[in-house]
Amino acid sequence: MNWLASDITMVRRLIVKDWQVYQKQLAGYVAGLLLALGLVGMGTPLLSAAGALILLVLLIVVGSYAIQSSVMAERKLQTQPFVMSLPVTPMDVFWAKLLANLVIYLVPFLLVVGGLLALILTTPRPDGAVPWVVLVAMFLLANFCVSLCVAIAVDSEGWNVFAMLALMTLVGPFIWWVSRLDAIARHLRTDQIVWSTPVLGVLAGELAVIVTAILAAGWVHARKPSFL
Amino acid sequence: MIPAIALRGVRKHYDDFALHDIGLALPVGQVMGLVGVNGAGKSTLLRVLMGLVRADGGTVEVLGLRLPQEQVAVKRDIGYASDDMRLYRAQPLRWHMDFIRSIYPGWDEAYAQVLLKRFDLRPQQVLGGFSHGQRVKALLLLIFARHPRLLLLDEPTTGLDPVARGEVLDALADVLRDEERSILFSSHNTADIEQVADSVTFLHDGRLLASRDKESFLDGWRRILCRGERTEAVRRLPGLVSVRGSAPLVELKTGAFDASTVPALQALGLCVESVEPMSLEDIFVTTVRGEGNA
Repeated sequence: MNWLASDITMVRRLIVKDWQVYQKQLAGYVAGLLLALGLVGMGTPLLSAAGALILLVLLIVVGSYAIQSSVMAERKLQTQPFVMSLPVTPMDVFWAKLLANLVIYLVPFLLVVGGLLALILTTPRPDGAVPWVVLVAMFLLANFCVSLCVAIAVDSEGWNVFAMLALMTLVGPFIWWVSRLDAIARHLRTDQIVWSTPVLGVLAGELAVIVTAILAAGWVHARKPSFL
Repeated sequence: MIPAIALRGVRKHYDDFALHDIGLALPVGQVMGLVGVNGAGKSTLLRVLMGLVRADGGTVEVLGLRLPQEQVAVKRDIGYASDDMRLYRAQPLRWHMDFIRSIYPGWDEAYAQVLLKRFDLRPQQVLGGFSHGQRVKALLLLIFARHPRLLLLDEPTTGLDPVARGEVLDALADVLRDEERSILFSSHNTADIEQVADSVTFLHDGRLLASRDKESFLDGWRRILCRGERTEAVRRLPGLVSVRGSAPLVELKTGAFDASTVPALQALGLCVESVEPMSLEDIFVTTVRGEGNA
């Protein structure tokens, strides 16, 4: 089985196609995220908390929206046969879908994470929160990647929605757990940015989940008997 | 010469349906009409040819290349349109045209403009506002304007009004002026197939019932009205597919009509009243109902 795309140019064209199809909706989400980031930057505890909550919700929603509209809707609205009728292999479409969604998600994701890190590092807020932000952000990214890979690999809309909802319910418990992790909690209110072994371990675990999800989805996709 | 399509022993099994041992060849420059009832396997067969569905067994060669191994090269020269294929609803037709033009170097913008006029389509209109007929014509425009060597069309005229159907068939006739182009198209409408196809293939319940050139199909089939008894000897006549009616009138349908048919019937004591050619639809229905009627 060939894991690689047969034609990088075609993969790039398919990514640009998805970007063009979803850029307007994405612009709306980015505007909402910028507004929420502005609330966080206001400095008052209430506005910061409200802004952080909106950021979290919007990041989850933008991920779900991208997956639903570019992967699940393409099956439901029957545009997938059109894409598959182009000179592409199933693995070209797999990589294009994966990368297009990552690009679509990474735009607001990097904006939010970069904005939060800039706020922490350039204002009197304790810099020790940086590892916490990175771990939570990577968890959200891993959450998105797993949802995306399930959506690409599994044709059933029911299972896709179930996977997405199940993964969303893990966000709250993860934030609770990581906030109480000794290696994080000890430095959360200090100005010291400490990348301790437990923090790096969690980060490595999150990266491993992303890589495993991509490999598993690719393995399943390459063996699919039908692309409709 | 390498055929445009060559299928040998192609099988595909689903829980509730299967394609059985399909063997088929479409010479270059020919138009083949695929006729079958709903669920006969026409769409599955076309999807196998397009690489959208992987066959469980057998070999699939399109334009001399094996599928699915060489599907990228094959798809560059195939135009595929199906009843259940949709374009992006929120994007205008022009966006689709630019997208296809960026992929296929053979895109013919001048011809695309001709088709826009002929099909009465507005390039700036989003696909979501198109009627079914406009959607079909838009899809065919995207295919025709890149001059593929092989067209695979799954029910291209289904659901079209008579005017739109005429436009689509006229455009198909234009495509056929190029003798190197081949077309395999399925349709419920046997009149369309009778109008355009060089050869006809009947598919039923996942099996290939018959595949011949259209003229010999039409020449070989006759409805014969006779007077006389419906004896066992009559039923055993070679090529006889249907025997109906009661004495003294008997209606026979045969798929092996030739100069010896009428004398053979007369020798069995039947008085032949009339011999009529059959339409493709009648031939298909008679073939599907099969020998149970004989």
